Amino acid sequence: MPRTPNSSPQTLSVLAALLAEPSRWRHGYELSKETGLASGSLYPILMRLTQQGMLEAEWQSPVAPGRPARHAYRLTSGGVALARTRLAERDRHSAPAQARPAMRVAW
Amino acid sequence: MVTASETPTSVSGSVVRRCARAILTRAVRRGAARGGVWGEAVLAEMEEARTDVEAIRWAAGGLWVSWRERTGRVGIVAAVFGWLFGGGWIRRLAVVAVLLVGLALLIHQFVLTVVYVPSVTMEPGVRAGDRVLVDRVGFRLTGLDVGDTIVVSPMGSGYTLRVVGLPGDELACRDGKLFRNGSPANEPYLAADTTTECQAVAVPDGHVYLLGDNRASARDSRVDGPMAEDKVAGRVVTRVSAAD
Repeated sequence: MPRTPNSSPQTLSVLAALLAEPSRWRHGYELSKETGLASGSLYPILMRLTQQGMLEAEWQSPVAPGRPARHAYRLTSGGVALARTRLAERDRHSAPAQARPAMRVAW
Repeated sequence: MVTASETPTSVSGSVVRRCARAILTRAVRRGAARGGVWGEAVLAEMEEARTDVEAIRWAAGGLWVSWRERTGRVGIVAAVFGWLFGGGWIRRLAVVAVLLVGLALLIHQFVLTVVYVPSVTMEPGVRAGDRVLVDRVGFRLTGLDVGDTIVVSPMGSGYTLRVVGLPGDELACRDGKLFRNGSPANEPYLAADTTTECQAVAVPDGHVYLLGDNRASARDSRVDGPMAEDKVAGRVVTRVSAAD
């Protein structure tokens, strides 16, 4: 069965976090906290989504002297559409999976 | 230059955190003023980590991100992992089972293995027909010692002998006893009435002198001379099953 791109649970959790406030620029660290993904898992996903044009990235100038410029991300319009589609698919698929244990009990 | 008097939110921080940042910086920039976009992005978030442990984990992930960005290998490892573990739980279970069997076979082949001992050379400790557990790696790390029971290559023959002399040792036999460097060897593993006959010998570099515990009938270094250490195939750990 061919796998749908951008449908892994990790990618979905990133999309969900970004879709919560689609207009706000988000930083890697807070996304990591929100999704529970380590930097080594999170950034490759951000890299891929950016390459695919689902995400736009920009360097934000430092908030205080001595602090580094930070890289920030938000979904493009294509990204918003993708996130909605994938998350809806997930919810459709997870519903029957939750019903299964109940059926076993019924046997 | 940042001084220690600045606030805790400054670019300073604990030694652990500074080391983590220094390592990641070096990996990302490799001497240049600035590294790749994604490596720099991870680096810029280092200040957000609240604890040392978090900082280390963040930096460790950053090393991976930076490596991927630089080599452009966007996912050979990730693709393989995704393919192996991405399926349903049945496939995941099957993959894990296959990997475990493969691992067990590798361990059995190269790390620990059980061999059948066909010979009487090591009686009474190991009798013909016993099976022994053989360590094939550990002895290379720790080196051999006097008293070790080893398996002579080729592997699978199960021909076992005991190390009684290491490189540089002077061995001799007097009154039916083995002497090592002038002192009587302590050989608690021998049967009570054993007598040892041998020619005086100095063990050359890279060789070990081997005797069977069954001194009367073993074919060992008294006949074949000291054996090159790289011919040792393994060290017997323990006997796992006795002859019927």
